[in-house]
Amino acid sequence: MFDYLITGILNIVTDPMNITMLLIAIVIGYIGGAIPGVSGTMLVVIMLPVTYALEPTAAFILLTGIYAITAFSGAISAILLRTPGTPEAVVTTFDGYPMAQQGNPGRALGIAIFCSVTGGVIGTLCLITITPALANVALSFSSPEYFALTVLGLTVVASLSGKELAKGLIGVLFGLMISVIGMDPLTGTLRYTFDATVLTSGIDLIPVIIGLFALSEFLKKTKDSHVVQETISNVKTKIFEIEIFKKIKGTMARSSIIGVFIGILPGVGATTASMLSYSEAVRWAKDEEKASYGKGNPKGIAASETSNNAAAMGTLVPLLSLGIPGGATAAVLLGAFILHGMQPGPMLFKTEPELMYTIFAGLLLANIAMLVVSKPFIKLFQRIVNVPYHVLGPLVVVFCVIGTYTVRNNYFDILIMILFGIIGYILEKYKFPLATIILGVVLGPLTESEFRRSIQMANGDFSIFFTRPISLILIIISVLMLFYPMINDYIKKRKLQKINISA
Amino acid sequence: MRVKMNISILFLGLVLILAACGGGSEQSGGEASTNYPERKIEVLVGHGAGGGTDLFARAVVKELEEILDVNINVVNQEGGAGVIAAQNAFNAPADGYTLVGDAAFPITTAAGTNKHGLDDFVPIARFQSDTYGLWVNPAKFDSIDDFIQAAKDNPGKITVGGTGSMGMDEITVFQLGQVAGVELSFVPMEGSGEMHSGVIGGHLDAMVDEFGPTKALYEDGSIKPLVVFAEERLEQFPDLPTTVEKGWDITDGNERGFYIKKGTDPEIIKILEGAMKKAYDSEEYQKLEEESYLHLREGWLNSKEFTTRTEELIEKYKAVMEELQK
Repeated sequence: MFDYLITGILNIVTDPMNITMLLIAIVIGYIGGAIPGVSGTMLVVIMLPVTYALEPTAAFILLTGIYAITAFSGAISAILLRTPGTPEAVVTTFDGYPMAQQGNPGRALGIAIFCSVTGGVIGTLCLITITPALANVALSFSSPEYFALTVLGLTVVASLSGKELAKGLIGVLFGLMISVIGMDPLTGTLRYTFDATVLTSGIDLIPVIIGLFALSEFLKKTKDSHVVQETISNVKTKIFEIEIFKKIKGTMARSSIIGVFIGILPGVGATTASMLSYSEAVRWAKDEEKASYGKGNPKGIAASETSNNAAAMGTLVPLLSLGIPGGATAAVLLGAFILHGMQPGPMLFKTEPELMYTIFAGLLLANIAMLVVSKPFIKLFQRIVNVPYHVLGPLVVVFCVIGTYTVRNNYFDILIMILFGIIGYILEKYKFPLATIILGVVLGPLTESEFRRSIQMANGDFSIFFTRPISLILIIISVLMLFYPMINDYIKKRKLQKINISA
Repeated sequence: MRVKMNISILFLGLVLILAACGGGSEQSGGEASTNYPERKIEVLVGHGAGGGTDLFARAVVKELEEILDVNINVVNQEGGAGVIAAQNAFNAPADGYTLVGDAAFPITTAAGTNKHGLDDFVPIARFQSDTYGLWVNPAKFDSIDDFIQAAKDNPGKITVGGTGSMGMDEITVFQLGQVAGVELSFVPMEGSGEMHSGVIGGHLDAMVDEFGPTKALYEDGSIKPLVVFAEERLEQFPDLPTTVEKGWDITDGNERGFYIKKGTDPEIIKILEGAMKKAYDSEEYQKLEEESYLHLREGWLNSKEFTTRTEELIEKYKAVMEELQK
């Protein structure tokens, strides 16, 4: 296996065409990902026709390279402008943007890059070494397990909303409500569409997040004074800071595992992975630390960025080992394999081992290259913060509009984006935890459809969630997590009592 | 502070107006058809990038660009199984520069979600008439008779996956249950990835899918077909029984083709139809069909034939939908 991998690396390094493709992938990935609304999937689709003329090796280095880079590059605008460049970067805004606002954009970007690379490399290594074993894990998951997983994710609402539990619950329910608009995923019935054709396909995630985070921030800023801002940018960009690393290494390790794991499940992608990983980071934090999440905690950035990159690589596991695309981009890559006359699946490892390992090597190199070339990019990007807001603000709005439009080429989405911008502005004024809405919107469709699908699979028997071991364990954990604060309180009281007694 | 707020609202308003203007541009009706096409053509595809219908549209567009010597853009307008794309094409002028590539037109029209049926659109050409198979995990069932017996013994307990709801997959499973006299439980899956792993992992008893997307999976033996929804046996699967020989008259599959708004100059439709025939016959397109197992049935129908066919299908599916929703 390692012979193949070394051959693969040599294939790339010694062939100028392959190296060029890797570099092109990095540039396209960086710039495309930084523009909101232009997702990795879209870039891969756009570049697909270009690869017709290329050798398969070069073609796949280009496509998978773009894919690997965009898993990170959406974080750039998320951190600097609170405008997630790709949907999977939305969670990065939670802590990345506050940290940048506190005068440390360079540090926030540094953490994001370092964690992305780590997540990406760990994901790729998992992909290379244990793909067949992981594929079997994917197969043991079905609707009941997915549902149990989303329940576990939703229970985090308590910790995400801090002291405002009521607001947090309202937020998550509002998010869930948005997610039921449109065509019922199981029966095709139209819900809350008011006979409007544009609503039949529901409300897309991207206009919601761009509106809630990016546009609402613009509205807020226009109210601020326009006296020339003092330069807040920390000129030093350190990608690796030892004291930060010491803080976040545990989060990174946990998030890599969550990321790879969520990634290999077909039908759940990097956005869900980063949401769940962030939830876990908050959950595992010490009580006194919990409040700092959402206010620029480095662990928040680490949780999101490590897991979404790990998940992006994990998504390729079922594609390459089973021929099952685990997400939208993987589906496009599947199409690319077919266009080049190949069928992904276990056979491909036997028939085209060199190509496969060259692709792996390409992913590894793309992830590492991200680290190497990031410094000039960060220097360039962090200057953005110093552009006067009356210039930058309108530009951000223009990008938000264009970005929202490109997702589905639908004018209606722009209206949705603006509506959510206004909603976000008002809610933030009342200190409403926006993260809980995102939790509902991201997990809502999955929760609902997987719940009903499970019931349908079991012919109406609700016990399906408790008779399958994986789903049962996940549900037990969710229940424990839900009551954990109470149990914790109880234990603390007991301890206190004991101390009192012994004293 | 107040003033600044107002400015930002004004700005938003401007953006809105700009957005609205974009929608109404390019309005020029009576162009001379002889020069057609003079500028870029847009093909609206109502399905996501990378899916079967999208790949089909892109493959055809690649050939059409050379034949017509003009730029053609594929625009993905995902939603409602193609309904959004049809709606937007209907809102565009009937000047021949906006086409629709669709697979579910008859079904969405019959279901009523697509409000613009054949009164508003003219079918230009059909490229593919895809073939369904019923797929299972080889460990579970040996033959179609086995499967039907199991369904008889456990009425309503055998789960069959398909993608989406109230689409061709569900109609096919429903019809299979009807003609075979068994009660099957259809489970609508989110996408084919989840569906395939559901069958291989044993969470679903069976699924309906086409032969292209399942190629890798049956080549390595993870799944196998029990029956093909066709009139005649497939050359590639000589041992695979057909629905017709079982006495079940269900052979429909997804039919992918192009539509254009009614009122478009008939000359333009002629030009497009001719160009599409050339694209269909091109070596590259035929090669693609063969690679993705789309050549199992003749796909081509010209505008007139495709119109008749669409009419038939709409009527047929209307009846099926009524039964299905009972």
